[in-house]
Amino acid sequence: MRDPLYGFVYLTELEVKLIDTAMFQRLRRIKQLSHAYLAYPSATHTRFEHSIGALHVADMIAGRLGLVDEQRTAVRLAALLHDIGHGPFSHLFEEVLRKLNGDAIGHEQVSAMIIREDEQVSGLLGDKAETVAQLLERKTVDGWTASDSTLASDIVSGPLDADKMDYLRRDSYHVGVEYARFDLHRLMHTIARTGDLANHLCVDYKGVDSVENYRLGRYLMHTQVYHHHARLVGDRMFARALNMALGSTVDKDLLTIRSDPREFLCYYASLDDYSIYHMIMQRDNLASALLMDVSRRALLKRAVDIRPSLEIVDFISRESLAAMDQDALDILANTIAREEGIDPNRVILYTSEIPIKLYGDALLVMYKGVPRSIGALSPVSARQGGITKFYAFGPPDEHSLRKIRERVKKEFRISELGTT
Amino acid sequence: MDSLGVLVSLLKSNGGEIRGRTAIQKLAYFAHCKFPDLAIPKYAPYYYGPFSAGLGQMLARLVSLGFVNETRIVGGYVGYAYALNDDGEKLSDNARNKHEQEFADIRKLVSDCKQECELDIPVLSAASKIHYLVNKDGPMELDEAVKHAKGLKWIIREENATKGEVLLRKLGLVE
Repeated sequence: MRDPLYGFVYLTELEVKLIDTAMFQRLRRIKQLSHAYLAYPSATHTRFEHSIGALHVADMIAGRLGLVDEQRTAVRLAALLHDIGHGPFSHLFEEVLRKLNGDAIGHEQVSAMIIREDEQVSGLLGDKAETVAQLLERKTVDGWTASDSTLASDIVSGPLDADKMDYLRRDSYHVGVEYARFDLHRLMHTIARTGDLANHLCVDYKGVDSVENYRLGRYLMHTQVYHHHARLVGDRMFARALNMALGSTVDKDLLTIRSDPREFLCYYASLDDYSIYHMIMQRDNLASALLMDVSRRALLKRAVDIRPSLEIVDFISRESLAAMDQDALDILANTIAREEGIDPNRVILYTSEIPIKLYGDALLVMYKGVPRSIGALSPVSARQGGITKFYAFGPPDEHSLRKIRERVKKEFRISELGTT
Repeated sequence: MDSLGVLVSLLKSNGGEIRGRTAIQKLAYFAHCKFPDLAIPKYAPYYYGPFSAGLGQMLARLVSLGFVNETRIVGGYVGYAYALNDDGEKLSDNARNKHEQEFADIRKLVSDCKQECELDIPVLSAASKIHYLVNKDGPMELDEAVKHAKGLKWIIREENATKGEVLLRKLGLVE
């Protein structure tokens, strides 16, 4: 199969059959970067090509580490299927799944469920289904040692995994930015295993600069692309519409996972970016109006865009913001809107957090035979903390934006709000 | 008391600073088990024992919103130290004034852990793993717990297991 990053990706007969299943083909209709296309018009690539790219990179790593055939095959399959459980608009739909099924349910759990329970997928995988599911769940694979299982799971999901190595470069390519074009081949050349009891994936010391390149790329993709305010507001408008439609247009019961997951999976298979928009927009209601605005790019505008650590000086107000989850922010947004006479569906408060520190310590580097955290060896100083920004979005007219601004100032005792 | 209050109370109870994210996670785990009324986000088995992603997020939020300073500890496997800054101190005073009893409970818990193991991370970690398994699978002998731990890919060294069990008894978390 042709791929713009790797040229050709070679697939086995089983992999081709898996790609042809309805569940996998659904990934063609789930965008990798959700509403990022509102800021970057060409960011419309999907989970489909990323999954195939992840297989390719996983195979490069497995080959480099000399995994035996059985393990290499399993790693390829796990990478291919790692995102098969994503719902429409990926992480946004996950919020709904968690709301209905508890925090323990995310796309990873749905992926494992599909691998084990979907007739087509599990039928094709046969006795490999359990192995692939266990790898994705980071469990010890039946019949494998714990350390072999750890290494194989690390290749698919870990601080330096095939998933990130593919999506960072792929997102860069499609978005049209250069941030994450790190040196994949140098990384591959230096990738290693810690070889201790835990047996984690690491890089040899001579690859440390390539890892720095990768980490910086990852960080910049977050600040410049993944957390771009236009993408965030598109996402939040969609999330608001989805929540409004939940229980009416979107079936809540069918999204609740019960002991027999087949009914859930059957409904889930019908959901993708397009079908969910269609489902919500075919009704004539507030949720539909909100999505109509997103599709016309009539987005809400920023009334407030602040770094709370710098701009909310009063520590009690800062604490109250820190303690607010999205539900609490939605309640506050609703209060502000009602009291200021603005349409409640047109005021959104959101705390955007980039938890990935530029120089976190999860990556391991093999230094003189000892695996060490890269932080100990990095020539670049650590940056403290993640980045938290607080946004209030409102209708585009200056009058409404000013009212929201004033209310937020009062709510969090902010003396001056700089303009954005 | 909410999870932000628990975190600043844990730090305050150890002189304003705790070394190691894992130590904070494990202390909060013991607090979560001993005082169920504290609003601490759920724990699930993770690579290094029971872990609360929600609590980790709250700790990161305390750092990014300017209540806690995070500094790197260099040497071996590098870790982080977390210390209350001026605003963090005010926050912990606030938590103490609002939730006197809970604050006292947390202070006693930290003091017991210090007395028993000086907040040594491998011991705290072993104790949390053992407690998690006993809680999940019912009472068992120590060597049985160490074996069960392997099923979750948790490695518990014998000397840490023994010290961990002593700590759990001290905290009243096992009989």
